Amino acid sequence: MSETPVKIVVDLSQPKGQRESIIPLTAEEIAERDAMAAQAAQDEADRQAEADALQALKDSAKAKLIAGDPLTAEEADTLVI
Amino acid sequence: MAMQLVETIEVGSGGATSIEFTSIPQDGVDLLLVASLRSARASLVDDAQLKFNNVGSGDPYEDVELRGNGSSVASNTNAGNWFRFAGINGATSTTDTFSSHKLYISNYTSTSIKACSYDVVSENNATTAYQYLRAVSANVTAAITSIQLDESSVFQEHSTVSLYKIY
Repeated sequence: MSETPVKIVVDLSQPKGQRESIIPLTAEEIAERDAMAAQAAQDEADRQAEADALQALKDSAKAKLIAGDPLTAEEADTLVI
Repeated sequence: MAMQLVETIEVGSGGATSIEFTSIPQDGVDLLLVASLRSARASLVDDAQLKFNNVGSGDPYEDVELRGNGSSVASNTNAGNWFRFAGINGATSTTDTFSSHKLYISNYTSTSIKACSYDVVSENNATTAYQYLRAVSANVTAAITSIQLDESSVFQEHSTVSLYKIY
């Protein structure tokens, strides 16, 4: 990977073959990227939490089925296709 | 209606954090952005941020989302200062796989709020792979002259983005 982050700017007013510029990011753009990275980390955490919650419901439903206990509606939803 | 390729960009060996189309021709009816992407972020999937005309304040981008992850489905609504270009293959997805994205922008030269549809399928040779389908409302009332796609990590080499004009 490049040491300095770069962006690709495509100026469609130019003739084909002369449109693409590769430009190093400014300090302000790099700071904006840092904020984006924090948001991306939060999004990833949200996705993981959703997957974990679903797995917990499935595990609980399985345990209750084996034990012959009634399932909650939420647990049953994980089994019905 | 006919479709014409305006430009295709392939990311080179150093990667890139952002891809921006400027001076978009105003002689079309709709636009279609097609992307094949992989990010360097150490996760299964990653999100980039998309803006029209660099409009990025006042929560102008709203959408309703349907999504799946290989074992369940869900839905929700989003609003923000950018459109979340979700489902990009991250660095922990199967090596050399790329996610497939399509963003259709209706009536892009109008002075009305822009209606768009977005769909993506991420690639991963395992149970978990993400899919998103979104109906988007972008409160950008000028004709769209630029599209900016920003990645907080890096778009990896061989990622491609193509812009088509429908006329």
